[in-house]
Amino acid sequence: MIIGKVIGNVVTTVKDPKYNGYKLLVVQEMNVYGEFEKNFYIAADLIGIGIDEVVMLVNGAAARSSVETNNIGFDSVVTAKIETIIFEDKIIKL
Amino acid sequence: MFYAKVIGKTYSNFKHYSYEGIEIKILQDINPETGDLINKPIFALDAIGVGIGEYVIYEISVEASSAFDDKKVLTDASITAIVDSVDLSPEGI
Repeated sequence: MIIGKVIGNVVTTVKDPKYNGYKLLVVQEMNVYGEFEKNFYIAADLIGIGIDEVVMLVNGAAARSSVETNNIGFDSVVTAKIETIIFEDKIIKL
Repeated sequence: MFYAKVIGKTYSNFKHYSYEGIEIKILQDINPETGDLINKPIFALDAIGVGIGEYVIYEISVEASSAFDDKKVLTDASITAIVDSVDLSPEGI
């Protein structure tokens, strides 16, 4: 799993009917120091997240392993809001 | 499955309901011949209870959620074993 910051959301009108009810977020990947990486992801929001929060992403077929996304074709979902990272004796508040 | 070292952990209060009681750890891959840290650090759910600095095995992709037997946990990386020792052929590959 990776972490990233929510930098925006996506509005769609024509879409797969199974996407109804799920917000799509634009997420830029971060490393463990809290610095931005180059990759961007469009991820489905399962927990109710706002802009500028640091979140954890589950990618690939494993994104369908929960009960509610079992039949929906998401391959990237937001599953947790990350508040603190403890790494190399440093405490990084996000 | 991959061989890695636990190098950190994270705190999260606001998360998916399937993550209740599960910690998120930071792992980095280890070269088993030299013991050096390789590749980028990744985040993984802890299925067995490990501490920082321990050497572990983790699994990725769809199979990661099968590390948690009683519920459907939304994860693509899970720690499944603690490594006590690794034996390698002295001649190498």
